Amino acid sequence: MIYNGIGHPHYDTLGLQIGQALGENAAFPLVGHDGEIARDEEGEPCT
Amino acid sequence: MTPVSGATREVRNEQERDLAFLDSAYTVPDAEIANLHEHGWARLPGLLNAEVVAELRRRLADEPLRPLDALGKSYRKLGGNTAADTDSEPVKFLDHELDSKHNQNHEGMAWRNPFFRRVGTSRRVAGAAVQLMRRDRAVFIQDISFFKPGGGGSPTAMHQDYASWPFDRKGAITIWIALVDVSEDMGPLAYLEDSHREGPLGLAGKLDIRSTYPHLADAKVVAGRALKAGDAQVHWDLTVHGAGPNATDVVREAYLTRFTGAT
Repeated sequence: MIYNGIGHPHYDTLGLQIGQALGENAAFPLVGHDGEIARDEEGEPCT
Repeated sequence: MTPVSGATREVRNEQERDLAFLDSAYTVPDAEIANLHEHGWARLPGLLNAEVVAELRRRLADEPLRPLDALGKSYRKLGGNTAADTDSEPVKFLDHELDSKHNQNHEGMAWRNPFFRRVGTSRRVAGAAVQLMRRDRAVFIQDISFFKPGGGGSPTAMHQDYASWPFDRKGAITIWIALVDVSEDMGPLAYLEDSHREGPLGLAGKLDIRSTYPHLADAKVVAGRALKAGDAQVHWDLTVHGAGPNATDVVREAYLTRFTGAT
């Protein structure tokens, strides 16, 4: 799912860049079957 | 450090015990997962308990409402419009936003208040989301309330959510959680069955999308039944949905969480 820049009162506030995948933006929590999955300093999931 | 009294500690422990419910698993029945994928919607009875619902309502009461014209103003920022432009004519296909009897919203609480983030990312809620999406991972992308006022709350015309969102593709789900008991005359959410297969149909505003796409008049209207506080329903971003008026004096309160795939 890629951000396309169309204005929106929520998504405008989260530092998204046009063309960025939502899953790559640390503003959006990653979740799994047991709840939130922590990200490391580079935004990658801690496994 | 300020000492914590025994009474305060007891209250905190009580709240933690209540909210620990969020760490419990919700097993989505296979039939509901199949219904979401095959027909565009699902039911999650008893997703939240009374304690979590009460805390959501209490916290929402402290949150600011989203301005009625917020979505339209965001649209008008496109193309480098000036501040004067953003305050000019409303966007025709967002006319429902300006109707204070339509819905009042709080938005993005989970991005400024840890309690809402705990709810949205919980095993209870997020775990249900990944089951529904048939994924191992997802991204929590939005939370928003929809409060349809009592005393003549306006109906919500049949529409898709997808057209209002800044994404390049379909695939997001909404978990719509009732925060009060919702009777059939309060405007529970209803869907056009199988409409998630239609593809994007565009913005509709107060216009019922069936008037633009007459073949949808043949689609079966499903759900729209009474819900208990804590019950939830789920739909895709392309599922056509809407709600009747709120004919009661009670505000129809709902809290929504939205998820999409992580890849």
